[in-house]
Amino acid sequence: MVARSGRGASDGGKAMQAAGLQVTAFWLLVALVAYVAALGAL
Amino acid sequence: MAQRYGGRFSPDGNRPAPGGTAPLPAAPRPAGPGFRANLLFALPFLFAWRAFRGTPADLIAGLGSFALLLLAAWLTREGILAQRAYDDRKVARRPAIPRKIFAGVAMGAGLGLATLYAGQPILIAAALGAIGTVLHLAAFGLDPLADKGAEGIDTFQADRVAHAVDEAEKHLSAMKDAILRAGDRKLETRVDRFAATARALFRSVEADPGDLTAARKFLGVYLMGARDATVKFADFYAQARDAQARTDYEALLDDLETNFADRTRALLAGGKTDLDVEIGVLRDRLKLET
Repeated sequence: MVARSGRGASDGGKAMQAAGLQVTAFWLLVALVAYVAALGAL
Repeated sequence: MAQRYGGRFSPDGNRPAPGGTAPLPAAPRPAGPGFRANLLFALPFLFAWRAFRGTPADLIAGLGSFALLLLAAWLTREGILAQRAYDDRKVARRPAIPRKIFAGVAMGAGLGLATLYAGQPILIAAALGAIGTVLHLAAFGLDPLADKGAEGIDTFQADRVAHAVDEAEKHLSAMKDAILRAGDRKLETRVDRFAATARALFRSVEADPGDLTAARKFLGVYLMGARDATVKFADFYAQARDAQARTDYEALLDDLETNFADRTRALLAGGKTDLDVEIGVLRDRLKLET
């Protein structure tokens, strides 16, 4: 039960934040590509 | 943690390791580059489909975007695999080509080109391209940009270790490739287990490059011998299905595994024990096989 507080917990939290950021960035990228593709179709 | 399915009747079911040795830890290795990297390969087709529905200029621009996005997807995939290889090793040099960064740039260029030919001003095209690059880098990260494991070790020695391990990995994958020809899943699993044992030795040498001299024969000569024996065995066994040959080959793998595991333990203990007797036995066996 060490990871509840202190360094371990914050490291885990940071890793989760980074993973979340990566997933968000990826789907934004997919949306951007779809947007640009649709731009040409107009 | 995920565990390979196996039961009493599975090919690798409940067989103790040779010589009663405890199984050595092997790093779990995901098979592919992952869902997101694979999805990137689908995106370029949005542009290819559109390219054939307009003027020739549209076609050229569409195919250009398609090619750039496909290049980005391929570079991302290679970059992820290269980074995984880098992460797996304790001593590793940075990739010669920063693939993921190049992938980000290719992605931005592809999007910029597509925007430009959609009739938007160049400023908008550049901005969308830049956004694409930034998002790509945020989604997949940067490549490892520094060598690792070089602390306290001279680069020369670290390079030698990295080179020796690369060579040894080649022998291992050739072995795994060859045993597929034998068409026997049990033997494939057996070779996989030997590969795990051998990799434990690689990691141990990487941890202490000074051990390279003591382990060089294992990484080179013996693995090469094992590979050649495997090739010859697979060719023979695929045709003849000779039970005796199979027993001999399994005995060879047992011997190899025991020797590799012993050497790893000897290195871990920091001992400089001379294993020449065991080596002699192994060598005789290899001679019989090849």
